[in-house]
Amino acid sequence: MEERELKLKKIDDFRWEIPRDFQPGMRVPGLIFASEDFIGHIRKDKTFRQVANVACLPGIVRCSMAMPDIHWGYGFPIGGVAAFDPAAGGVISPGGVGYDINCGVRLVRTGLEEADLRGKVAGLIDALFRKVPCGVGSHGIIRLSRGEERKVLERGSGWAVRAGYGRDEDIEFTEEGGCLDGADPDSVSPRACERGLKQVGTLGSGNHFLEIQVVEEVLDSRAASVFGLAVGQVTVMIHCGSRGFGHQVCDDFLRKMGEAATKYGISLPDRQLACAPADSPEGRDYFGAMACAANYAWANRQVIMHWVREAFEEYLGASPRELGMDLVYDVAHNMAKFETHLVDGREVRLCVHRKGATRAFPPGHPEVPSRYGEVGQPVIIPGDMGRNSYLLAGTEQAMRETWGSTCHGAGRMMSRTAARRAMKGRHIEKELLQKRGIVVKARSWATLSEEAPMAYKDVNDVVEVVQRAGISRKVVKLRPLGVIKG
Amino acid sequence: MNGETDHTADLILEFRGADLEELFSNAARGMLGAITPLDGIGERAEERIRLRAPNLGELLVCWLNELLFFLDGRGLLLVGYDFEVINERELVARASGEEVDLSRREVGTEIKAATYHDLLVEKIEDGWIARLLFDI
Repeated sequence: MEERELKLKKIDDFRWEIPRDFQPGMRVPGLIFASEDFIGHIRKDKTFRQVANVACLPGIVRCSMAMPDIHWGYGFPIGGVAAFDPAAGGVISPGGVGYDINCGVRLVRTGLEEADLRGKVAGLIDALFRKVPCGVGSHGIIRLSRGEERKVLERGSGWAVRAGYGRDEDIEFTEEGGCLDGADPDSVSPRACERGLKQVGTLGSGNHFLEIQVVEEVLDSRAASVFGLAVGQVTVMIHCGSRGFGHQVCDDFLRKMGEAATKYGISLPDRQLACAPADSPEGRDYFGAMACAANYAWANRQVIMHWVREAFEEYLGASPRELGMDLVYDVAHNMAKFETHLVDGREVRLCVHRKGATRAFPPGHPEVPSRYGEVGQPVIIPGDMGRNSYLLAGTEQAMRETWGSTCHGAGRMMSRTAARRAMKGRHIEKELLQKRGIVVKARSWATLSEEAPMAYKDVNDVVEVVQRAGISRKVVKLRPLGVIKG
Repeated sequence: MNGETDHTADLILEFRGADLEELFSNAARGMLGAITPLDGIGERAEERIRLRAPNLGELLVCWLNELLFFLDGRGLLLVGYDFEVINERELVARASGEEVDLSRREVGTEIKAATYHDLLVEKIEDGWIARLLFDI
């Protein structure tokens, strides 16, 4: 039914347009990056409707986009990208960022080879599991005072490094230097602050993870060399976000933005898309609070990386410097940011929302660390725990077409309920160990079964689409050796 | 009576109740029960909750997120509810339960929040029905 109504226009093998007449109120068309096969999956649920809903929001520029890992979310689809022009009444929406503000990924390289860890992966995973608190409602060993928390919110990774959790150079290799300008702790509710006091340095649950990986294949040798990676090299990937602090900020502002949307006469196709003009007092307040949550998430990943370095040191008996444990990069994938982009040949300041999408700036962009200037921004794409993850690089094509954005992961294909049903009576950790040699440790069986590889699209297919569409370039393919799930 | 519906990324739960008190109680216990089993939780702690919202649906979302705040922010699992006021736009209740350490309990799904997306709260012949999507 949806399909007939949809009249999806195929632009090329990887681009599909949702015309403006799909839904009343669409100000711009929708644009989905997907293969024919993915489009078939997407047609089965309400994802298209969510892309169209975003196209109805005031001040949206060019189109409402979705990356190939798109799936049904709430408000924006997961994999959604949209930019709004504040000078034309463009909005900012907590529903375009989500509850886990600055959920993101960081990749750490090591000087170790896979052979160096032979017979040691299980022990190392145990050491990491003891060191990094994870699971539902996990609290860390750090207890912040209110004053100290304020510094976390204002300084992000910088707070963590100054507090002894890392090195100065880690900051350089973090998106935005690990600190989004404009953070305003006075915009944050006492409740969000309360939730934040005990959760810095915790992984959480759900799809968040910590993985020991190996570079399985180099797909662009020049870029891989610039990123300091080669075949057989061991890496560590950390995936988590702003924890209860971010959830509370989103919840607080969704309530306020419901009223704000009414005040500014914004008609919402979905209450979850509540928003306000980005340059209004409500819009500025949300951005100030969201930036605090973004900084909280960067501090969180920075602290966790420090503990990963410590766990490696304790288990392998060599210092992190001796082990060559340097940060390759850290990317956010749930965020709204003010960025300058070319619109009809003119530089315009836009509020770019990426919900389950990653910034992918091209070679030479001033935001890309100078060491990576010639190859572009590293883009880290986590896959499911049984197959692969990728490191990509941003491109000029992405800058021109997608506001410098690309996919963020494999993208779910099966509901969590269906995954639990399908995994009933099976032992995913034993299967992954026996069939693929991957050591898995988790706090909760439910989480593990919900995160089973079969619940996800194959990340190999997802990155194939973004590469062939030209919005990022494959650099290396990673394979998990050991996984920790919350 | 509670039920679960498939959603690709998140969790949709359906709740019913003969009246609003029962609907809000069932929704709360259904949501918290998806996080951790509620059996054996005592009533050693009590919180007074007062909420206002523009409509019944939003009141239900606020109520559930309030309980998530107590669990995640203060470690309080509130499982018994005594409603003093409950209508389309306002709720006053005493919620009782106890402090729990989730790292030592059996846990299921981490629920980040109850969302407004595709929210449904409806009067039906024999009571009320609600359907909510939770971010997990």
